[in-house]
Amino acid sequence: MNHSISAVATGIVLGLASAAQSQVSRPNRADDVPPVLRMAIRSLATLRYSGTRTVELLEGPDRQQHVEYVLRDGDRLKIWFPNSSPYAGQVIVENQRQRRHYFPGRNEVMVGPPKREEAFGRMLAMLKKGGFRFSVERGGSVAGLPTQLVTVREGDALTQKLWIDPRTGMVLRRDLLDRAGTRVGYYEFSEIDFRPRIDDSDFALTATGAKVITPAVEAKRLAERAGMAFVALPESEGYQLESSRVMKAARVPILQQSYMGSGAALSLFQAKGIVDLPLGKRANGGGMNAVTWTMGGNTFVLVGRAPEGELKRLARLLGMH
Amino acid sequence: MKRENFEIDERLAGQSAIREIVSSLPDDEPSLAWRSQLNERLRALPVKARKRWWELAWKPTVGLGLATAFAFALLMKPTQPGPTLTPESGSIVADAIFDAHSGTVARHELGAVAGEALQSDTAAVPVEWDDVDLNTL
Repeated sequence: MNHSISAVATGIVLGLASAAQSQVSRPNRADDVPPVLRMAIRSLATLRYSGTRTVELLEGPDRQQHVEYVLRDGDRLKIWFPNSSPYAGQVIVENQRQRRHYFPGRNEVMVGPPKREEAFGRMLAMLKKGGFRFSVERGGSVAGLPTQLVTVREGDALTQKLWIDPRTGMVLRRDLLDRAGTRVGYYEFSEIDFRPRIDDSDFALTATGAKVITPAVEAKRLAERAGMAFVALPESEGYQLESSRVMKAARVPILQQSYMGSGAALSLFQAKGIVDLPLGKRANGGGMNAVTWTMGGNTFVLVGRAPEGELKRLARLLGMH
Repeated sequence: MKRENFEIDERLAGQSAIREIVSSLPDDEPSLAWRSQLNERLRALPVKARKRWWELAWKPTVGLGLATAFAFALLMKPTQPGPTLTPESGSIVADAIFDAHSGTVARHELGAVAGEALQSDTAAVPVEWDDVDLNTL
């Protein structure tokens, strides 16, 4: 199993190098990719550890933070939560083929695609466009280990910081920033053990009697509750539905479906009613593309870093005229 | 043979006396007075006018209409009118959409679990086994 992940990691590293080399007219060179970052990417396939980490994500105006336990053995991953957590009892188990998330309150197991190979997907996709700059400096201690801090700039914007254990290649802390410099998400390990005692049952998830559902089932459920049509990208297009949610803005209910494909994320939004959306300026400012259309009395938006032509092609599959 | 005929004639002669008695009885004709009285009482009752076709049909029609409306109410979700939107609200929705997508991208990059997924399970169920259960204290 590890062979395929190694191949992916190797591909990513080669991609990083070739992408940097292809930008001869830009300041990037192959050796711009710091060795410690290459090591981090390579080690994805082989790392073995248990640890405790804090995860924070900027959700609208709010920063959502939680603590989770992580156990990794190569391509096998398990995440669960402290008893004091509001998510206590939930368990996520992932292998090379799938991710399973157990919800004890709902007594359901959500089965979806694995995520581990997405970790550096965006960076690789961006490197192909060129314009990346890296710098390395001492990062201080994270989880009691000395680190090297790799700073990533896209153009002039500082977009990522990675605190890497140079001995193992483990990314002990990672910050993501938007182009304005706001931190939009981070994780940081507070404890790490590279010699965990692992039992095969650690990666078992046998929730007897639990109903097995998929992200598509969940999306359909949410659409029905919101009184919207269920519209989804076909899997044959290479995009896998990963999660869905309903949010509100200006009192307008909006259904978001998140897809992953080829290392790039796509979001399909369906807003209740006909909404005139000034998308262009905001999309381009964030390095994104967006297409919008109306259908069945609702407004649809497809957003991502994919080229506009690709988004339009997908939108037509969904019913855009 | 003659003797037998004689006996029969004698018996028949004996029955003629009974016939006379029966004939002499008074003629008891049934009286229809009760029927006449009943007719009089029926005539005294108010006569209901005969119902016309629409008077007979309205109840089933209304019932069918109510049943149809009920079925529609069950099967067809009412379309709620969308909120009144101003140009400003269009901008707010657009911002929310891009913020949400950026958040999703960050989550993917970090390999983090979607907050909405975690929050969708309302009942935290902590694991409650401890040292006491294992008798290792």
